[in-house]
Amino acid sequence: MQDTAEVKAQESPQINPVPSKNGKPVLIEPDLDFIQLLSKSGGDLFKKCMQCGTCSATCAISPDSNPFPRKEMAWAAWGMKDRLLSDPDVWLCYQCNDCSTRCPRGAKPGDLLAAVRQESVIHYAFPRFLGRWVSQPQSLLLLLGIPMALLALALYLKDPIENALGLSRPMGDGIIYSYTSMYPHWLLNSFFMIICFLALIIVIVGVGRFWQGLKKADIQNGIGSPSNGLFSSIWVTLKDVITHKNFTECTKTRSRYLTHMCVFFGFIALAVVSFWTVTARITPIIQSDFIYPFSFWSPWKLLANAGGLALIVGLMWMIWERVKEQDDAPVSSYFDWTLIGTLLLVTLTGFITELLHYIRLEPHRHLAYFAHLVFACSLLMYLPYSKFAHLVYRTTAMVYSEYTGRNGNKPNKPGITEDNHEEAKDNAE
Amino acid sequence: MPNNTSDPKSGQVIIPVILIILILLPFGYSLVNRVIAQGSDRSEAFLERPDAKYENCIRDTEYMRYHHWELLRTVRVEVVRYGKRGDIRLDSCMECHPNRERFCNRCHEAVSLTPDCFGCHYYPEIFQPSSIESVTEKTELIPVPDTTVVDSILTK
Repeated sequence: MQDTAEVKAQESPQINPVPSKNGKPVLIEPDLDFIQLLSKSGGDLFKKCMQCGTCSATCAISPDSNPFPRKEMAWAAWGMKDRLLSDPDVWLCYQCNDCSTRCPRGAKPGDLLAAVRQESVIHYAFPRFLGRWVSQPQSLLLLLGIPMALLALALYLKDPIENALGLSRPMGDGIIYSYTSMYPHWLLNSFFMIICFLALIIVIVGVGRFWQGLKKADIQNGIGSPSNGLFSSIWVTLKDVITHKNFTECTKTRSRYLTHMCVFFGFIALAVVSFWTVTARITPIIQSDFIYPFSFWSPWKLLANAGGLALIVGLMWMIWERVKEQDDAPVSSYFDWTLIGTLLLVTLTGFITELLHYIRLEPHRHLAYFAHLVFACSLLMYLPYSKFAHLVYRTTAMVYSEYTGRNGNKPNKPGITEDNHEEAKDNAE
Repeated sequence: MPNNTSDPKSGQVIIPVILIILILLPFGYSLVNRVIAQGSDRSEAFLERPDAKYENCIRDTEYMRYHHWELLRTVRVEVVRYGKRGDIRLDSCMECHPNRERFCNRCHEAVSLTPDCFGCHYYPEIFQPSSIESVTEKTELIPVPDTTVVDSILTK
């Protein structure tokens, strides 16, 4: 087995260096608009690339066959939009920036791949213009206004609907001291279920398009058929996602392993508790063990508070990593900041609501809760269009890579990273 | 070709596994609670039934269950601000519901609620040391309010 950087830096013979149709070379028509878009969203240095291949050789998670990101740098410079958007490799990158720090020309391949990922999200989003809006600052107020208006409309229609359906509560306002007088459960549950359902459909459309694009590109470029089962690929991918395995491969920015872990598991904890509060009444096995609002020491409340704290810690740490001055740090675009910002606002307004509830500030807690609901709603509504969509596109790309067997032989790189030098040698033997 | 992609180091597995177990703990807690409650035929009652001499409350049960505090607040305002003292007094409640621990506090604790009246004011039982023990023995217990009931009240 030849696990050397030199082999990896070359293109695999499988791929056609010259795109051809019926044996005749095809004229490449650079998409200038696309180059402009990539430049705008952070990857403005990629034209400096001289195709030396250091990046592909350095990358710890790039596979042997068709390694990245050298080929992506070339495609970007040529404006080959279709190639980039149907390329699973841009999603395999975790932007640890090992490549950007070692690039002799300072072309920052890591930032380019991030910019391509952003364009991918927009390209596969449905409707596409919404994807464009989410990634540009001038639409921010409009985009925040939509969930705000929807929620206000739902609250305005609350009484008419209750009267029409005979849902009106004969007891007057307020159950114990909860939020149900302003925001009844039926309203929030149905409102957020509709939003989640729509987001899910749009995500399925986007992922379907993405998968088709990946398959089409592989057929065009004569890359082989699937070699692993789909379900085993999904299983392997989920294992990698949960253990954050690829984050540990990065040598440059190891702290991301911890920050992403905090945010990932904090979010899962909160999602589990939210799911529980909606479904507990109809869960057949544990139907009646449910008194809401939860007591502070209820295990569900403890889990939610712990998850929220993990999110805050992880997000603050992420922000600190991004703002502290570092030459080799990745460029933080508006696309990155909106996801971090929305998550942080959802968590903070959640904690503020909880606090105001405990100190019984009557109108304020309802306002805080409204803000919390608006941010939570925008997080879910814009999931398919924002950076949040990485959770589906990256997973899809990882599953696809595993499915087509490209992940089969990742190299050990003796001598590339000082830390795992000995280990790599042992593995090679 | 060796496949070294899908076997993360053990240290990388332990942390996520611990976190997943932590996330699943509340579910296990609820499940165990439910099983215990079923096994013991839910004899660990939630609220105490009123005293035997009880005939009618001043309002119907469902109103009292969720809005007794509004009633008490209205009465307080009438007494303190307007000097109108009627029949509704906390110690008249105590005649039928003598046990504060098992009647009032159960709910209040479950919803993390601390009535702030009794930080300054004495609770009526200090003036009425009625024979709580003897009453308690006689009284039946109301089971945990079924959520389906609560839910139907919420959405009705």
